[in-house]
Amino acid sequence: MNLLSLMTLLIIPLIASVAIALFIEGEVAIRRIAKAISGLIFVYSLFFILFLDPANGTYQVTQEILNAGKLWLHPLGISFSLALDGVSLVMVVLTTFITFLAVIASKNNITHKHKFYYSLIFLLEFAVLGVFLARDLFLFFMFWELELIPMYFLISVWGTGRPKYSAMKFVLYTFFGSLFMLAAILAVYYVHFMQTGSLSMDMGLLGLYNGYPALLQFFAFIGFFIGFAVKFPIVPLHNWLPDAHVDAPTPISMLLAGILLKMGAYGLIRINMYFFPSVFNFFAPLIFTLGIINIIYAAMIAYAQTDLKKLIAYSSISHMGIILVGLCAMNSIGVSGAVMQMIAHGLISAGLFMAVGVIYLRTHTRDIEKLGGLAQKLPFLYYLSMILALASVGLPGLIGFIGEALCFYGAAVSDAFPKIQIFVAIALIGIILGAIYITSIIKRVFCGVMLDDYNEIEPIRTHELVVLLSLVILIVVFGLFPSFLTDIFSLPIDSFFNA
Amino acid sequence: MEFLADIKNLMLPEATILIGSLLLCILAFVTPQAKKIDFGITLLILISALILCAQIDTETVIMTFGGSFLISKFTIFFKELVLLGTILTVFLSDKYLAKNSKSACEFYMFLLIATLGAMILVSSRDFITMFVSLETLSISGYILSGFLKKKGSQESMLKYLILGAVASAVMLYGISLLYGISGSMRFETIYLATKNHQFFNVAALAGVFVLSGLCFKLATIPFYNWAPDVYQNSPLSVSAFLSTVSKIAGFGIIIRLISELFSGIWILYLIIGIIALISMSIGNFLGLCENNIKRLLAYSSIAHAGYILSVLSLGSTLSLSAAIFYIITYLFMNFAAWSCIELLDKSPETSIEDFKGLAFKKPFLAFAIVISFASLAGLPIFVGFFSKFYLFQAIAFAGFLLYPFLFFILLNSLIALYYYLKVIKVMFDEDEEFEKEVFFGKKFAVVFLFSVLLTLFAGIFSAPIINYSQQIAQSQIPAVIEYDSIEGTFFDNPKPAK
Repeated sequence: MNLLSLMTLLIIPLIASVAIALFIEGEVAIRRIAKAISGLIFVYSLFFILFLDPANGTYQVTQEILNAGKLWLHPLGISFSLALDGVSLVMVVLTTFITFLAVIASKNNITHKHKFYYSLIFLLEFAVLGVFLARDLFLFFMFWELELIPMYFLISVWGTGRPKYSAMKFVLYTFFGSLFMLAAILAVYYVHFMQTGSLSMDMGLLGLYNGYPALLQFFAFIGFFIGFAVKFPIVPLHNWLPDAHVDAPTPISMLLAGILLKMGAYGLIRINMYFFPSVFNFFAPLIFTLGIINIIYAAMIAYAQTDLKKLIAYSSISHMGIILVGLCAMNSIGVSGAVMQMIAHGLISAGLFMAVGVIYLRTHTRDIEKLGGLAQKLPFLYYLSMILALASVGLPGLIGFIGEALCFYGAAVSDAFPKIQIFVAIALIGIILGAIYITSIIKRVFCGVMLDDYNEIEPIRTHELVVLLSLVILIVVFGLFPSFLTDIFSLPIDSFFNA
Repeated sequence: MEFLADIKNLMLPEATILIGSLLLCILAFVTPQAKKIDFGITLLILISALILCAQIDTETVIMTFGGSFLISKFTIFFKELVLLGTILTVFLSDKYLAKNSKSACEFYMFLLIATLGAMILVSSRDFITMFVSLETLSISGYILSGFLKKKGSQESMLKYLILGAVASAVMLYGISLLYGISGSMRFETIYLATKNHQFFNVAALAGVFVLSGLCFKLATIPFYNWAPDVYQNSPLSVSAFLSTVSKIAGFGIIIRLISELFSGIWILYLIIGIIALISMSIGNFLGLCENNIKRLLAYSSIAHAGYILSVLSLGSTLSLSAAIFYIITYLFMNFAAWSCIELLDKSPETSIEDFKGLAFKKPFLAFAIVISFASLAGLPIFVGFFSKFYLFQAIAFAGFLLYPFLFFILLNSLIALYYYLKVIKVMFDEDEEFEKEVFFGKKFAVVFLFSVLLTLFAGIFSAPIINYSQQIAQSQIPAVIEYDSIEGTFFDNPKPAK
């Protein structure tokens, strides 16, 4: 048996989830085991980086399971096949890493029903890994939907404020989007069957097939796009995100911002771009416009927020807009930049949500008006948040800069559509807006006069420091040496655009 | 004597059920209070009927009773489903009978007679047999639904009875029209008489009447509004029986009618499609603001009948096999949901609010409820996701003209998701004083575990079930092909370009 098996990677979280739910008792024991397992999964996923051949651009590690016995949905041409290429690999590692940190961060945030909580976290990890590993379109869709179940409970049971409302909103929005996606999947599947006679849902096969009629490409593209836009979120469909973030507990916000939003971006690359490049090119001005709206509109709303978490949520939407800019460039620089920005956003927004969580745990408020001068009591948090904030703004030397710079550079040199440079110039305004609200927030929370109520707050704890520090270290390291990352994922992108 | 030989060879399951119900009738006088014996005998009869069903050779299509009774792969399969559903119902009834009734004989007797009606219904090949068996099923159903002898129960039973009578009358009118144009009650004679677009309009009108009468069994429009009342007030196992077994029999005969008799009358397929769309919308929209859990399941079953009819309206082999797969999975999803509710039953007023706090007091029961409701909603990885996917696939493969239709159904499943989630949501509300007793008997555990585990795992290993439903659909196909070859219809089987 191969030691590095995608199925093993996928199945460990599921086993962990069931095992924690059934066999383990006691808060401390559950937390330790959860930490150990999620750490193990992270380390295991790192091995795939060594395993991947950097000179090969296509799907490399492919596995078909359950197909030999013809037990899975074989009669419908659906196989349980998993695959990995550079883009999905970085997403997989990001997922396992953020989950690991979220498990560590859960220590003080989750005060009841530990068993159920950690079980659901692993179920969520299983679903998200499934989305990134799936080679079969049906499998992709199944994991995409499966992720709703743990996420619904994680928000509604452990959330604050109006958690049930937000969780329901999240599920209904995502389900709404996936209806369009399902229709598009069925259309592609049907046309492929009608034209070739082979019933297949294999993404490698469907993606390489180039006989789709133009009209189908057009509509299928829109279907997939709506599905991913809800998750992304792209502005008219973003309404669930602030609610979900505000009401979710801190570790779940980290997961939501860190990895769940990336599923939408991953889908845009993996399906919309790889399947229908010409339609993507056709829609590029529109998508770019949506990206600009994302960047500027969300930044302006963020500036008006008084709730710290809502502010970070909107800034997160704003930064996701940059990914759209990179994708619309339709060249390998821009798309690499988009992937880089996905990683950057995953690390930075997870860190920012963690910082907000640390503050909220001590002050019991997220209202910016009621905060101030916290740097006196929480100096470490101040330094780390400063780095995170600067990375979010895009300070050179930090990972946020690499992502943004590659996206904008890619778009500026792109010939995807005429006058793209004007669009780039408009989008850049959003960066300035980002700098305004991020610096002002740092000032209002950490500087100035501290309220007397906060004299007694405890300093930052070790596990919180570990989470923030490990994120900050990665942000700095990858900011200085981005080629560590780009080496992994740039080849499949290059080979796609050069083919 | 030929009759007797036929019964011995081909109708043994039905004969077993009939003899069994008579035996229970006698037992009611001999040992009036021996519930265990009644239970055992009923189970024995049903299981032996199931085994006898499985042993009938289905390679060839056989007709008996002067051609009014059909034995084919398809009918035998539906009989097996009906028997399986009845066995589950018997397990589910035990707890209710232990609590509310002195004797179990009458209950089981009527259950068996209803099953007999359902079994003959799917096999019938002329309208007399069909009508008689349908009434056998219905009348036993009326009695079973009023078994509680309480005020609400009587009222809903009367509603059920009157609507049932109206539906039967409508259907009889349709049958009389068909008799008028063909001079026969036989399906194939009527088919031949209407084959070449002769009497097209009359046949279409008659078909609408007949289907409307059958829609009463499925609880779809035009006769759907008995379902919430009856499901709410009947004994719970009877509600489960009516919403699964009785519906399965109804689907069996509808599939046979549209593929064998009305296959040339394309407008009927259109009407079934419209019925399906309206039914699922009505079921889902009314379910949105419903708080009584039994009424909620009634609306959900109306919507599910709509989903199945929607795919039947396409008339291709693929769609038939999708419908059959959906019916199989609906059987255990629905039993899973009903048996979960049975555990907390406070009939007839079991509100969603009664589930409050359940998740933290009885996690495994709550998990089972999540499984069954998420499966009904069509969330992965439960079986409902796969059957819905197959259904959507069948619609998608009928061509791009039907994509608006597909979208409509997809949106309906979004609406349905809301009310299924509502139930799940309430369970996870905090409630310190959740003190309801949960009685978990051994007999009950059988149906509970069987249906919940199948709902959980059957989706993942569904290839055998899909293969099987494709075989069943293909065995019914000769009739369907007849339909496909008629020009001028836009429903086509997908034919790949080789």
